[in-house]
Formats: sequence, structure tokens, C-alpha cells
Amino acid sequence: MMSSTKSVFRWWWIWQSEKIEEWLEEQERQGWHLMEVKPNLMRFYFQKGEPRTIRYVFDYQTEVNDDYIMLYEDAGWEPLNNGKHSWYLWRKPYEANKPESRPEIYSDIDSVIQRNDRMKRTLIIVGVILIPLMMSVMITQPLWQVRLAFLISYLCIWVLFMYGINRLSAQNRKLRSRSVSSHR
Amino acid sequence: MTETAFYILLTLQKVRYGYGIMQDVESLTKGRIKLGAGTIYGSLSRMEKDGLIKVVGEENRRKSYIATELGSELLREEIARISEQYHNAMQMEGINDEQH
Repeated sequence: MMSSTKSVFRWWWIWQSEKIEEWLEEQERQGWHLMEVKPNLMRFYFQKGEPRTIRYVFDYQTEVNDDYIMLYEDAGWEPLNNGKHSWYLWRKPYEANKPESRPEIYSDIDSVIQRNDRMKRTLIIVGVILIPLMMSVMITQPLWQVRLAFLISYLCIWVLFMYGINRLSAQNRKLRSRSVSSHR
Repeated sequence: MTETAFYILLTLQKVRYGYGIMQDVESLTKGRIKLGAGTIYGSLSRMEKDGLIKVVGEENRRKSYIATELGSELLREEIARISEQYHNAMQMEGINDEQH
């Protein structure tokens, strides 16, 4: 029997990682087993097989030690990429008829808030790093058309980052108001 | 103190590594609390930085931890606070029962 494979490019925003996680889970439900993720984290390779029920998580960690990998593996998570751009993709199977057993890496609200804060920090740092880069292009580039193109693309990126930071802050506000009513 | 931090300090009265804490907490709470790997990882690094727990060893790339004196002191205070809550709740229940 010929095994069929597919490769899919799928764009996702870092403030919406649960969307890509759900998409991967849906692929598995349809029998598309994830075989590989390219370092750009947006090209996925699948192989056709039996439908499976698997939870995927994209964890965002800026500081990890050996303990991190061992802890997740001990807890039954299988690693799929080794932290490209601070992203760690993990998966763990669960029972299809027990949706309440769908595993999570974060069992409390504080941990999710802190993960969102790590993402925000990265967006801010990259946004700030781009400023001197932009300035040097402005100073050294003789053609005004090129300067304008750079300026516009920089402003687009900046607006996008601001939007992302805003979304993450909104998520955190929502989470904080929920954490008042629960101790977890 | 969050429930997560409370149970980590409680189980770390003895030397444990990350996964051991997860298993202990799950059996202590009869499956009610299943600590996530990410939650444990973040909590352990934060509590270590705050001096509430410390690393006592490393085996097969797994760190083992124990509560520090400061961590144990905070745990005792929290237990006292929870006992007070519990006793007050029981007293209140007694009053409500009389009213019925």
C-alpha cells in the first residue's frame, strides 16, 4: 500500500497558539499524523494513517534547562521540535471518549499569564531592536523610495506587534479576573 | 498562597523531583488536582529563585528539590490560616444548622 503524505503551510500568530494546536489535533482526528515541523514553525508534514486523538501544545519558553525536557517527558509529552525560536511543540495522546482528560501543560491561571508575559516581552524586545536597524537604513540609504518602503514596512510590523501585545494583555486581564474566583 | 504553591511546598517536605510532585499531589487530592508539566516547571524555577525550595541533587538529568526553612515556615503559616478558615466555616455551619 502506498502511504500518502502531505505538506501544509499554515500561518499563525504567536498570540493565537491555541488555534494551531487545535488545527493539528483536527488533522490527527482525520488520520493525518504529524511527522515533522520545519524550523519556521509554519510548514507541517503529515502522513496518512489511522485517526488518533492527540493534544498538541506549542509551549513558549525563553529559559529552559534539562529539567524542562525531562519533566514534560516524564509527564507523558513527546517532543517534536527542540525549541526553535523558543517554541517547544509537544504532543500527548488521550482518550477520544473522555474529552475531560484532554491534557494541559498549564493547570493554573498564573502560568498562562506568565507565558503570555514572556511572549509580550519578546514582541517588545524585537520591536525595540528594529528601531536602530530602521534608523541606520534611513541614514545610509540614498534613495527616498527605498527609505519610504522600509519605513512603511517597519510601521506595519510595529502596528502588528502593538496589536499582539494588546491581545496578550487583554487575555491576561480576562485571566486575572477569573483567578479572583479560583485559587488555582 | 496559590493552591499550586501550597501543594508543592507540602510535598517538598521530603526530597522529590518534578514528576514525583505531580504524582504526589494527584494522589493526595484523589485526582482533583493534576498539575501540568508547565505549571510545575514554572513554579519550581520561581520558588527556587524566591528561596522557598532548593535543588538537592541531579540524577538522570532530573533535579530533585526540598523545601527550605523559609518555605516550610510559609507553609506552616498557610496551614494555620487554612485551619482558622476551616474552624470558622464549621462554626458558621453550626449556627446555620440551628436556625433550620
